[in-house]
Amino acid sequence: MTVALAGALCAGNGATLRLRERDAAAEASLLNRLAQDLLQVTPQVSIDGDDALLLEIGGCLRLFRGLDALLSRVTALCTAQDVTATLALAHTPGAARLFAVHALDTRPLYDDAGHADIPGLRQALAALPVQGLELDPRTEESVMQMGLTTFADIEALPRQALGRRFGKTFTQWLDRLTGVAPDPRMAIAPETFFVRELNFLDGIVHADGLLFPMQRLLGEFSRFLRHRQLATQHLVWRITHSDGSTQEIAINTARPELSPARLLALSRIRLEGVQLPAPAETLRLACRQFIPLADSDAVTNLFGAAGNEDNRDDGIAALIDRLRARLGDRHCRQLAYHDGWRPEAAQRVVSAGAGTAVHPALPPLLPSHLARRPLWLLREPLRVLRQGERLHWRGTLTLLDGPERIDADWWSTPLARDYFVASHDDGVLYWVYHDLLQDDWYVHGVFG
Amino acid sequence: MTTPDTRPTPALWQAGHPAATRAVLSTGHAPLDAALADGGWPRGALAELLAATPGSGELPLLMPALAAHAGTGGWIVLVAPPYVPCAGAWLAAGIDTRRVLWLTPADARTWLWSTEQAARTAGCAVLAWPHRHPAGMRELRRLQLAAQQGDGLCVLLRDDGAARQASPAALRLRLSPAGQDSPRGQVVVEILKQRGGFGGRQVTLPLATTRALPRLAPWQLPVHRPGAASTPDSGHTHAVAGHPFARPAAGMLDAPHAPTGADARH
Repeated sequence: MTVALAGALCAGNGATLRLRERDAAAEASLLNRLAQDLLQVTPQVSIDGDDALLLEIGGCLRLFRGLDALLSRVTALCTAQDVTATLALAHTPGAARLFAVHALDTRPLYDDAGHADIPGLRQALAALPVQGLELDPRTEESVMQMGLTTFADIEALPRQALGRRFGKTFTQWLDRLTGVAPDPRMAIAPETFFVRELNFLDGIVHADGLLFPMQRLLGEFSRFLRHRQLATQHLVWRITHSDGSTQEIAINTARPELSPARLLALSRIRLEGVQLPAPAETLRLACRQFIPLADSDAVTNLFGAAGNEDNRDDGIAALIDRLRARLGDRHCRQLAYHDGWRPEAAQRVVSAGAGTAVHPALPPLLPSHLARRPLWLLREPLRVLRQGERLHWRGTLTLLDGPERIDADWWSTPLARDYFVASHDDGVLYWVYHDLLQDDWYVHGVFG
Repeated sequence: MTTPDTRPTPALWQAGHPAATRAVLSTGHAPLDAALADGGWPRGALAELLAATPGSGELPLLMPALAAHAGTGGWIVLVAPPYVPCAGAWLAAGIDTRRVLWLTPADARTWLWSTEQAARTAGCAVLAWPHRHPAGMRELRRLQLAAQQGDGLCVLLRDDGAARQASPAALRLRLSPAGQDSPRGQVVVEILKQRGGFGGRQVTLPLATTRALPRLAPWQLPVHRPGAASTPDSGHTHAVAGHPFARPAAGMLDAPHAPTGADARH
């Protein structure tokens, strides 16, 4: 259809015509994506030119229990990608391509077990016109000038004569097409990372509108993971706006995850805080870190050993994921105990659900001084005013018990403190210390 | 023929009948358990603990129940606590800090959301401090509903002033320090409201962290002596030697009333 014709048709219907440049890169990526999906059907998928995929299905018929089941699976995968595909079966890759180009349905020439009626296929090939053989224009013209109109005419000529006239590549093409010579194709390699993108022609104005495309990408992602027996703990959404700016949303989970529903729920929580400065044009899902499913405990849970405990831990892991998604890692934390004398260095803040790796192993016997530590620490020690023999801090502090001398780190930043339990006017017990290096008093903790 | 049960549902309490058994977690303090109609902290229901100042003994009161909960592999979620938890002390109290979550939500909406989420999750004990995000009736109702969906402890640690407000919580306790003449470290727990029983009872409890303290007369503060080892520069050199501060501390502890030159000046 020409632009003028399209314009005329639109004008007739009262619609406006919008023209967009053909995007070869997007087409290639779509073809590539489809090829990756079709790896579910056969490991031998190759990309043929810029508009066709070749699948070697002879070895996979038994897996699908018949040709029809296999073909319907292929059609379903194409539909899932919004691709309308013309399928054609043939005995050689070249013939399959030509049949597809001419939309010749060769399915009736095969029985369900995949046995082909080879003479029938040869006949169908022979009937193809020379103009439809995808020859280069110069060769096509000279073939036509020889008075040949169909493939049968070319095939009928002796190979040697054809070779002399059109060159060796022509006879090689002919041999491969008819199956006289082998026609090996390079199968694509399964992709290592998952990177998928959706483009929105109109742009999405509200962040909520991204949920549906997210669901779709996560569905694909989950299939990707399932076929490779993988799970992930880390994936990244990237939104490109119409003004060219981008923003990224990283999703981290406490446990290896492959359920699209749970990943979508986490993405939904994160999306609530997202503002789109301009309409979103592209949504991309990228995942580059995977965990084999066998290593994660999802598999062991499958086989019954899982009891109440595991269900409960699953619930908590999901809770941690939701909290981290909504609050951010800075506001959803855990504390890991570290052996050390300096009270403020005796613990580290770690992100929640990071697993046992970041928590050092606890000593078999806890140091006895821990029993004297307060349950709460102030964010940093607060200075206490000393007036003569009284300590003032939002009231009066009275020393009760102590001192516990902490004298440490003389090799780096020396620390010398006498810690006391002090009672406040209002009955609260505080942990105060006398900094012996500076002769200052501080409140450092609260007992409960 | 059996007598018809006059109580159509265990949710309805009639004063003439003994309370229906509900899931509870023992408080670990026998006198308090005895005073509570259900015999412990309610599970799957909201509880409130009111105290004038954070740190008045709420944690020592809760600790036995929390330790029991942690002992069964349960998690503890702290929502917006007023201070930073001290990992060592929690460990010493029998709580594995690998199963403690520390949340610091930035605003009231997030606070409510995260408390609700945690309260709903099975196997979670939730302690939430609404000090920075005062909770109204609507919020309390939502939390009560969320707590019903979970099965764990859900305690709101509120300010004393909230005692005047109505609340849908199943249990409301007020904590206050015992009077001046009672042994130090004792607290009075007043039951303001409880499900399946009457409020108004008071229980005096000695709490663990304070009970361990010997009752000592307050020391006189050490007097700063110019030229002693407690000045920064000399302290630094002595620190390498090993015990630079033995003298002032010893003087402080052993002979607080010794008539030193500095004391004589007063």
